[in-house]
Formats: sequence, structure tokens, C-alpha cells
Amino acid sequence: MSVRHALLALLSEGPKYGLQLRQEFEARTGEVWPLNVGQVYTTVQRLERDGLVESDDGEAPGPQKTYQITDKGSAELTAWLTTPPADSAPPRDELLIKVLVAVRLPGVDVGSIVQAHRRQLIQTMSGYARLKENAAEDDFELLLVVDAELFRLEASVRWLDVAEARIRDLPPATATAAAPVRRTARSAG
Amino acid sequence: MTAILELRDVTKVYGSGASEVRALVGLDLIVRAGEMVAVMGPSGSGKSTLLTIAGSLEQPSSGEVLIEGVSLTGLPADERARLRRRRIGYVFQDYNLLPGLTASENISLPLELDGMKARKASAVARQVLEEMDLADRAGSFPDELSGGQRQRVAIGRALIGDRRLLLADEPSGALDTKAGEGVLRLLRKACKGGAAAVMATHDAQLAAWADRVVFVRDGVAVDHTSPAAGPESLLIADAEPPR
Amino acid sequence: MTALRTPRSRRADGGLPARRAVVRWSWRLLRRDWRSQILVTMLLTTAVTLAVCGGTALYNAPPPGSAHLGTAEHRVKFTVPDAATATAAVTALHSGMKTADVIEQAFASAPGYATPIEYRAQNLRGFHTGPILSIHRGRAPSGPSEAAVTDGTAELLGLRLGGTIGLDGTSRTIIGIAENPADLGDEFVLVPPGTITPQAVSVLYSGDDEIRRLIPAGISLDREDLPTGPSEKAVVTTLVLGAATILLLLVSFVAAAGFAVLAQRRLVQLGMFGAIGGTSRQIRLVVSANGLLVGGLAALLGTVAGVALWLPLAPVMEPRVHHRIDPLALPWPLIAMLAALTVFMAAVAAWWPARAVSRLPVATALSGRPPAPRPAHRPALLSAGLLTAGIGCLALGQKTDPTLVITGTVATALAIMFAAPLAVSALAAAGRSTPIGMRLALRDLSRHRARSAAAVAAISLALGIPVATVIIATGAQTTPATGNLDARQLLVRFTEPDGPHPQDIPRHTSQELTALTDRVNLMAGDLPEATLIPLTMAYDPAAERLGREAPAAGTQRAITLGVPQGSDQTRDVPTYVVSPGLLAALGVRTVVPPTADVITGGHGKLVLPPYSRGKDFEEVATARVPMPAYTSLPTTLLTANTLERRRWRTLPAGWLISAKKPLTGPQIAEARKIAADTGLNIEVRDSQQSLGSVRAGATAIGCLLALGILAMTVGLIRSEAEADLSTLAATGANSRIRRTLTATTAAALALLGATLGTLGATLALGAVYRQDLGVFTRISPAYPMTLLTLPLLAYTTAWLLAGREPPTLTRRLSD
Repeated sequence: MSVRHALLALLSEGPKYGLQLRQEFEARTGEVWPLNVGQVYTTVQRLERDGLVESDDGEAPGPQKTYQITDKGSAELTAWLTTPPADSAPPRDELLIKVLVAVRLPGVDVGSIVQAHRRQLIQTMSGYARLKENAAEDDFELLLVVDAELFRLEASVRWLDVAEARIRDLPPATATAAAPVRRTARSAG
Repeated sequence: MTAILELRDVTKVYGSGASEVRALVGLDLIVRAGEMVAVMGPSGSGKSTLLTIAGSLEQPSSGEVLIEGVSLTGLPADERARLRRRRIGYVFQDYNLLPGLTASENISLPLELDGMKARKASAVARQVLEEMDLADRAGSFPDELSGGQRQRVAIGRALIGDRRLLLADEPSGALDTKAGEGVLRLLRKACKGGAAAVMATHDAQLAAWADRVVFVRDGVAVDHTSPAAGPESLLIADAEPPR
Repeated sequence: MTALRTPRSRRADGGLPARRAVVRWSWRLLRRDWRSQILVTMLLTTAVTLAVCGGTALYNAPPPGSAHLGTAEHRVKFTVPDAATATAAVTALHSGMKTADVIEQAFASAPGYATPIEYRAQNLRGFHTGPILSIHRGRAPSGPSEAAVTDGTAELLGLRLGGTIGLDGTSRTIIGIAENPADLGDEFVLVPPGTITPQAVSVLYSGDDEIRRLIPAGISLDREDLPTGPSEKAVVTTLVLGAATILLLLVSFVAAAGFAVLAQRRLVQLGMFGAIGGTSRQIRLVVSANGLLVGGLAALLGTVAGVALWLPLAPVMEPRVHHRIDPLALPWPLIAMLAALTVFMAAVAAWWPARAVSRLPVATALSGRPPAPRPAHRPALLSAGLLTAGIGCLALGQKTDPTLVITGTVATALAIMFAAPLAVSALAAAGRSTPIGMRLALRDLSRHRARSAAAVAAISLALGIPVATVIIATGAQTTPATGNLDARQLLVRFTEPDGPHPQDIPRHTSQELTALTDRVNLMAGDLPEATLIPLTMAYDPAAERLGREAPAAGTQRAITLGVPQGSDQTRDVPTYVVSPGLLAALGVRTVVPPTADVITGGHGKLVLPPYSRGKDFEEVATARVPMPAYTSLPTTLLTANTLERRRWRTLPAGWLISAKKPLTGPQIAEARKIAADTGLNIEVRDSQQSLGSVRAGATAIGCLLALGILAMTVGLIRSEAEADLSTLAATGANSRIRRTLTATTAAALALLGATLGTLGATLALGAVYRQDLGVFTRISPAYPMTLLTLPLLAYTTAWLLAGREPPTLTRRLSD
């Protein structure tokens, strides 16, 4: 997500001060995306330079300076909303690289590496789930952000499941390390 | 915290000879009051067998199951049935409710089977339905309820009375994410009320709701997570959110 | 352990509230999928209907108490020598016994009739005569010139209301039709008391009146008392209950299979119930409560249907049982016992599958996997064993030993049922290379063997019972029957057999004899393909010389053998002279031994009564041969040998006319008219029991019952396979395949049912009639044809009905 377009969206509701912009940005993103003031002002100045917003006077940027969106800014916002996200390039996923390396590395138990990643992913998901559990029912911005994170993490977990199944099916010669999963822990609470 | 459920070195073997299937091998598990544990594994990993054994529906081939400190070994069938009526609540993926009984009757059935008068049991059931936000569906039959409502009624039935152990097998398997979330919220709420819950699932989203996740492969517990980190740790300090 | 302490009931099964909850669930399930239980319910209902209706009919078949006693405890009858004595006795009785009914009786002979007509003078409203005398139509006679007759008398004499009767010399107007409701065969002319000269008097009374005192000495009294000991009704009740138990036992076997299928279908639900905490006893209760509820429903419906069936049946039955029946006088204790028996049997039928389900581990039940179908060869072996035992019992039982016959019948019926699974899989195997529709239908039958075998067993039983009835009825028609004569026979005699001197045969000149023969030939000419067999008797030309009591003028006393009764009394047996024609008519094919004096079909010892008092009986050499047991048929025959040895001579005594078909009413009336004109006496069968209608009725009822069961089963099996049908439709099957599926299912079940039912009944009765297998050749070919057309009929009907598109292709059956 781009801070630039988020600020444009906030300004499309009406003129706002710089400080106000920062507070509302954090509220709208479920407060999981902290933003410092400097970042806000840099972005707004760039928007003003591009003619997408205008300020009420020519003063130097400050907490009391009011910004409002221009027609060009509104058009840019609408165009951005319907443009597909830019992350359609082939993933250079770190997890993928690690597993690929592990499969070829002699003396490494791929199963336990996969399980270690799975455990960490689920532990992270647990945190988000707890966040969701404690969130107020109407705090839908937070819920949307958390859901997005959960689905993203879940996708990784499912990818690990499939990877594990595929590695299991490899003939032993190709996967020296793909030994059957060892019992690594006893859950005694 | 007291241990509600304890499995000690439980092994379950089906069949014999060439067709022998080892569903569980030397499994240990302790679930304390207020705790929710997810058992995660692919299908055929033995997680459902773990639930049926924990719920006294099946006897382990070896090992011991204790519920609130009482061993199930050698307990007569009727005593085990009584335990299920009073202490253990089941939620299954599907076919949860008895057709022919209304939502209210389904919920009150364990109480009635235990000898409570129909009217009194029905009053208790009504209370539960209100908590589940289903008071207006009390007289509906299972086939008149939506999937989510059915599952909520099933949880209501699993929670009614003084239940200590909740066993859920893919409790939101047939539901959409939103309805499934509602089911898990109810399970969490029950745990906050002092019950212990064990949930078998292959779904990471569901497992994430648990306090602890136990990973099962081929009847063996291979790994587990530690209790969930607090939400604060997720608020990553740098400006960019995790990508 | 403290946590497990029971806060509520200490009982593990939750006591009454738990049972109530379980029964409630069972009832809801029953209401929910009642369609799957129609078969069992209908089967039980039919059995109860038959038992209630048949039981009520049997219960009402014997006459209520005595047909002569009314409500009195005693009846005394005496004949009076003359009018003066009679009047005195009647007056004395009237004044001496205040609460007695005095019935005066006189007898007048009617021309052409064997039995004299009885005149009965009695009060319509007597103290005890309510149940034995009533006016059916018209009113009671009130003066010396009025009379009421029974409808039998009216028919016999050609009388009608408003006509006159004057047999006793007094002409009376017929103003009513009277009857004895307890015995419709009791024929008489009712006149007011005091209007006849009594020849006999009957007194009905209760208590210990000194009746002897009121009747002149020297008159012998014929006394009848209220019978003590077990009444006929109690015997009938026991018999009906016994028969109903057997019927319901058979039905409950089919029901048990039905309940097993049902329990299997509810396996997951029952597993769920166990997971919630239902004990195995409660699981058992769910299934057996279902049986109880079905049984209760069947008992209720069956009772209502049975009573509804009985109400129109009662008037039809009256002429057959010869007494009036109050249709509303239902044997409630019997009906209640039948209903209770039904509920009990249904509960027992459900108990077996209930036990099996409750023994399954909950986790197994929850998985819903049905246990592997049991191989068909085990029940087949059981079936073979049962069949051998059943047929052995029947062969040994010989129609006479009820225990063996009942055991044999039950074993054979069970054998049929256990043979059903093998028959079903054999048929499926046979149909392996048929077109897809047929193959699929047959394989479905084989796959759901528990269900289809139960259906086949039910159809077999429904058809086996009428097959047995047809064979028994055919057998009964030629074996000795009861009654006086066969319905095809007519007996013409010169004397009245019940008259004062039946053995005094009128002497005829040869012209007179020729004239009479012409008349009888005329009589026989009216009858279909009648054969005329002259009957002759024997007389002893030397008898008069020996000083015996002289016969009436113009008559010749015929030799009459007797059966000894006490030391010096005999009961006369009409004795004829043997002739080849008569022997042929009696169906006697055995060679008569030359030494025999007499051949007879009877059982009693025969003697020749002495010619004068004081002499002993003379023993006669008797040859016994099997003959029809009709009582009036000439079955005691003197041989030519004895006639020759004793120098006896023969004289004509009448004719036996045998027609090919039973005589009709108009034919009998015509014969009567001729007989009355010529002074002859004729006798025909006095009660008509048509076994033909029994056979036709049994076949019709059996076929209907079988078709009903068939329709229900086919509906059930095809509705269960609706999901398959949807898949078929999705893959492009047209209505032709659907029709073929249903029609093949129906025809296969009908074929198996008809084959097994017929086979079982035939084998069983083959054992019973093993010495007279000719019975089977006498069965009309119409009956086996009917059975053969059944599968065809089933196929056609199902084909025509099954074309409909399934309601929704995606609809899944409720779990």
C-alpha cells in the first residue's frame, strides 16, 4: 500500500491539517502501521509539487497548515483504486529459497526445517488471531488488515504443507535429506 | 491450573497383521483448564483418533486417559456415557445435530439424558440459545438452520451444563471464514469460562486461535508452539508493514 | 473422583426424564421418515386386520350358547300320548311354574318332504326365549287363524306373507316371518299358545323347580342343561390367539429385517447420540421404541380396519353359520389381546437390531460404515435345514397332530424367508449380462440384500398362504366332507327316512314302478349330465312266518342292520343292496371279499337285529372300505353273497341321482314338485358351502396383499436409490432407463416371491398329501396362471407408473 494514495484518500474527504492526517492514517490502518510525522510531511510536499494537493497558503509546512485535494488529485486517486497491485512479478520469496537450498544440502533434515518455519508462521498467526479476538466488532479497519496478514501467512503454511508432501514423494536418491519426519518434541504443555 | 485432560503414552492400533494401522503412537498430552489446544496435521495423521480416545468414544490399545484426574481405563460403558453427558462436549465437522429434535431440544438433550425434567432442561437451553444469539431459532429443526447456526447450536449443546472438556473436530470445516470465526470465538469464550478445549484441524487459520498448537504426523506428536505472543510484538517498529 | 460425583440422579441412565426424551426423539424420527417404515407398518397392520376380522368372525361363528335354551338353565322336552294329557300337562305347568316358558309343539307332514313341519305354539315375549325367537318381518300371530313361518319353511313350501298354511287341518294366514336368531336352520310355524293340539311339550326354566311333579308319571323326559366347562368361545379365543401369534411371528421376522435396515440408516445419528452421552441402553431404547411405536400404530390401524371389515362381513356370515350375529358384539378382550400381541411382536422385532446397534463402538457408528453384508450362504444353509425339518414334521404330522403340523408350517415359512437372500443374489448373478437398466436394478437388489430379502420374504409369505389355501381347498373338496349329501347328488326314496316306519317300503306293481321310473327320469333329465342309479333294499320272505311284528299294510319290511346301543337296543342304519353302479358312484374300487356279508364306509360295529324279542343280535361279516362320509348316502351295503346265502330278496327302494355340477335352487324346486306329485321323498344337500369361492377368494386376497407389499417395497427401494437415479439422469439416462429400473425391480421381487411362495407351499403340502398327490392334478390351471402373470403385471404397472422425472435432480435424501 502506498502512503501517498492513502493521504490522497484522506484529503478527498475534505481539507485536513498535517497532524490530523497522521492520526487518521493510523486509525484507518488498524494502528498496525505506524507513521512518523516527517514521513507525512515529505509525502504531502511531493503531492503538492505534483499538483495533486494544494495548501491554503505558501507557508512552510507545519502542524497548522491545511491541505486540500485538487481535481487532478481526485483523478489520480480513482485511477489508483482500480489499478492492479504491482506485486505480480515472480516472487523472490525467502522461505522458498531456504527450502530449495535445504533439499539439496546433504545432512540437513528438510522435514524439521519445514516444521520450524511452520511453527513460526503459526505462532505469528496466533498473535494476529489474538489481536482479532480482542478487537472490537466494529473496528473493521483493523479486522481487514489482520485478515490480510492471516491469509498471507496461511498461504505460506499451506505452501509448506504441499512442499513437505512433495519432498516426501521424492525418490531417496534425489532427496538425501528428505528423511521421514523425526519425532522432535513432546507436547507436555 | 488443574489438568482437565491428560493422555499418557496413548497408542491406538486398528486391525492386525498386514492390515494393521497405527493411528496413534505413544502420545502424551496435557490440557489444563482455560486452555485451548489445537491438534494440527494432515488427514490420516491420527488427530481424529486422538479426539475419540480423549472423549471416551474409543479405548486406547495401550496407555491411559485421565479426565479431571480420573482414569478412563476400566470404567464401565455406562459410566463413560455419563462422563460424556456431564463433562465432555463434542462438536463435529458435520452431522452435529440430531434430526427430529429442535435446536432447543438438541441443546437440552444431554441434561435430559442425565435425568433433568424436560421443562427445566428447556429453560437452561433457552438461556444458552440467548447467549449464542439464537433465541429466535429455538423451535427450528436442524434442516431449517444455516450451517453456521447449526454449528452454534452444536457448540451450545457441547457447553450446556457443567462441561469441562470441549472436543471439536474441524468445527468450522463446512463453514465460510466469517461463520467459522464465530464458532471459534465461542470456543475461546468457553475456555475463558474455565473449560479446556481440544480442536483437531488441518487449517492453520483455525489452529491460530488456540493457545497452543500440537503438530501430529503419523500418530506422533512431532512439535508444538509455545503460548501465543502478545499482540504488541506484532506492531513492528519500522514504518513499512511486514510484506 | 469428587468431580465425578453425581449431582443429579444416581442412575447411569437418567431415569424417567431420560427415557421420555429418548422416546420423544424416536417418535420424531418415525414421523420424519415415516416413508421408510410404511412397509413394516402396513405388513403389521394387515396382519392385525386379518387377525381382528377373522378372530371376530370365528368368535361369532359358534351359536351363542344353546340354540334351544335361550336364557334358561334347563329345557325339558316330552312327547304326550294324547290331547287330553297334553292339555292337562300344559295347564299344570302354567300354574305350577310361574317363570317357565311352555312351548307346545305339533308336527304335520308336508307332501314330498322327508321331515315333518313343526308347529310351535309359544309366547313371543317369553321369560327365556328372547335370544331364540323373534319376528324378522311382519308381526307375531295373535289369533287361531294366524301364523308366522320361518323363511326356510316359506321357501320350502312356497309360502309368502299374506298366504295361508293349513298342514295341520287348520287354515291360517301368514302374517309374519319368524326365526330362531340362535339357529337360522331351525324351521317351524309359529302360532299363538293354545291354538294347536300338542304332540310334544318343551319347558324352559331356571332354578330347581320340581318339574317332575307337574308331569304325569310314565312320560319320559328329555332334558337339556346349560353346558358347563370351557365354552366354545374360550376355545375359539385360544385358537385365534394361537393362529395370530404364528402369523405375527412370521410378519415380525420381516419387520426385524426392516428395522435392521432402518437402524443401519440411522447409524451416524445413533453414534452422535452415543457421543453426546446416550448409554447403550438408551440407544437400544431409540430403536426398540421405534418398534413399539410402529407396533402401536399398526395395532390401532389394524383394529380399526379389522372392525371396519367385520361390520359388512357379519350379515354375509349369518346364513352360513345359521344364526343371527350382532355386528357390534365384538370380542373386546380378544381384540385387546391381539393388539397387545402386535405391539409385543413389533417390539421384539425391533429389539434384535437395537441390540446389534447398541453393541457397536460409538466411533464405528459415527463413521457410518455399514458392517459388511453377511454372506448369503449361511441363511441358505439354515433355510435348507428348516425346510427339511418343516417338511419332515408335516409328513409325520399327517394332518392329525396339531403340534407337528404347526411346527412344520412355521419351520417351512421360516425356510422360505431364509432362502430369500440367496434367491436375490442368484437372480443378480443370472442378470449379469442383461442390458444396463436391468443389470443395475438387479445389482441394487443384491447390494441392499437385507432390504430386498425382507421384501421377497414378505411377498413369498403373502403368496404362500393362498397357494396353501388353494391346495387344501382342492384336497378338501374330494376328501370326505361333512353334511348329508354332496351338492351334486339327489336322493329319491319311497319312504320318509325320519317317518315312523322308514324301513317299511311300499310295494309297487310293475306298472306303478315303470310310471315312477319315468317320473324320476324326468327329474334327472332336468339336471346337468345326471346319472341315475337305482337303489334296492333286501327283505326276508320268511320273516312273517317267524312271528315278527307285521309291517304296515301294502309295504314290505326291509332288512335293516343296526349299530348296537347298550345291551338290547340298536340304532338303525339304512341298508341297501350292493350294485356295481352304486359302488362306482361311491368311488369304491377295492375288490369286495367274497366272505363279507356287508360292506360299509362307516365305523360302527354292525349287527342284524333279532326278529323277535329276547333273541341276541346276529353278528355279520363286515368289510370296511373307504367311502364318502356324507350321512345320507347309502354306504351300508348287503353283498350278493349274503342275499343268496340267507335267501333274501330285493325290492326297489329309490334312486341316487348324481349330476356333474352342484344343483341349483330352481332345479331342486322342480325336483321337489315332481316328487310331491308322485308321493316320493327327495333329499338334497342341506347346507351349501362353496369351497370354490374360498379358493378364488384366497387367491384374490393373496395376490392383492402381495401386490400391495410389492408396490410398497418397490417404492421404498427405488426412493432409496433416488440419488443414483439423479446421477443417472445427469449422465444422460432417459425415462426409458428409469422405467426399466423400477419395472425390473418390481418384476424381480414378484418373480422371486411367487417362486419361493409357491415352492414352499407346494413342498409343504406335498408332504401333507404325500399319499394323495392327485390333489395337485385337480387344481384348476387358472391358479398357477394367476401366479405366473404376477411378475408380468408388476413389470407392466411399474413401467407405466415410473416414467415421471424425479422431483429435483439435486435433492439429496434426508440422512
